Amino acid sequence: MSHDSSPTAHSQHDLLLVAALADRELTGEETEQVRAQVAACAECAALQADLVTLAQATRELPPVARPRDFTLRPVDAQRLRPTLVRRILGSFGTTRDSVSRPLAMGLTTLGLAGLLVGVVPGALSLGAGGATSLSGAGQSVDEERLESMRAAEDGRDTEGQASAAPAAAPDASGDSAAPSAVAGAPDPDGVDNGAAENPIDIAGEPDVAPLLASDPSGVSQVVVISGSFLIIGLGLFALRWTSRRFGG
Amino acid sequence: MLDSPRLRIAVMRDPLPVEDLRSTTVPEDPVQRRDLILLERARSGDLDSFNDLVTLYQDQLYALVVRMVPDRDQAADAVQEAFFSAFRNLHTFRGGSVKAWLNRICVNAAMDTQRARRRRPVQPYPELDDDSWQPPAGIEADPERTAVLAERTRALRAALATITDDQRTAIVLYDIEGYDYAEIAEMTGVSLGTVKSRIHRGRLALRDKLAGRMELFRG
Repeated sequence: MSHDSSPTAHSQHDLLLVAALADRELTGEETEQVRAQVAACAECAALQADLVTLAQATRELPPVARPRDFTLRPVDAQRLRPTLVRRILGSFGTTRDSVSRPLAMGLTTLGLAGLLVGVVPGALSLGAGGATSLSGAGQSVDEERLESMRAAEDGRDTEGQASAAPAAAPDASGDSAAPSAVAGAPDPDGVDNGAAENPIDIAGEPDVAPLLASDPSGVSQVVVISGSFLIIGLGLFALRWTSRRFGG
Repeated sequence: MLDSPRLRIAVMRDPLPVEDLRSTTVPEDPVQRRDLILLERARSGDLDSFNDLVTLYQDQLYALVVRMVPDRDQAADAVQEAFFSAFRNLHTFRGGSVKAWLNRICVNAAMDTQRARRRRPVQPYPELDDDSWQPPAGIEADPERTAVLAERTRALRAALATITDDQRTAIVLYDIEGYDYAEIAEMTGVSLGTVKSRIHRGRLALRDKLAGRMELFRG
């Protein structure tokens, strides 16, 4: 590469590289490149010389006289003696404590996210209001499904389809096959039950609904649990701050 | 007390209570041995021993902190707070060099002071005029040379006070205290690359601030 010593060219030079060269921080190839640049650019050369000079002058700065004596008085020592509370507080927020910060952040995030889901209406389809209606709707759908399952079993009994069901099949496989049997069974009311054809709906609703269901006071369990997480997370942050401020 | 025959004998003869020092090796260095003995006595409640450590290191530690926090009063408060913190945390010392342990506590206290300054609007650092220091008057010393040295020191201190706290801390720890990049990275909680960048940018900033006065340094 060619180097122009004009000011325009100097303004395009990477001065950090010159600083790194002055500190002998560059690797072999970089060193050669920047040396060539410094050799071709008078301003870069002056800069390098100045940086070396300043580093040397900084190293030779004389010490500043201490304005007062820092020895501890007995009353200071009495005040500072580590108590049990201080020792416990001191264990938080130090460089050795690698647990409390991520734990506090995790709990606070979970708590906030849970509250958002549980409190803000319409934030997700599983909001608190939706939870109430979902659990109510879930009840009626479950009842319909139970009825249709019973009807299917009755139909099987009456039509004598014992041979269709493998006698040696274990219970587990029988359970997993039940939804498809229900889906394939004729609806006794003559109404096509679309929800019953979707195994995800069947498996999902009964698990989620109790969590989102409101208690008599109108607060869903998600809100309670999330609130607890949030309070514990914020409490951990407060504990870390207190320990840094007062614990040591 | 530091020069007392009792302590000298202790440094030479006393076997260290290794189980309390949480260290498996007894340092060969007599200075380190002396420091460990004082620290161990301080741990067992001897305030005089702790104050002996303070007396031994307060000059160095103040010189370190006042370069990081170029305000004498704030630097003195930071050093005092660091010694308070050291006394409160004697039980956390895990062996090694007592001086390095104290240095680290002081660097943390200085960085806390810098952070506190950043959180509230304050005046810029006052110029650090230190009338108590004069260049050593050797046989070859002449008034002109003395005046140039004093002016150089004043200019460099003023320039150091105007660069960012992070850059100044990195330069002080590297150039004056002699820590390497990895140690500075560990002490300040940033990456190795960040430390290098802060040092290089800080030097460039210093050169900009002193652009019109570089003749002072070239002589």
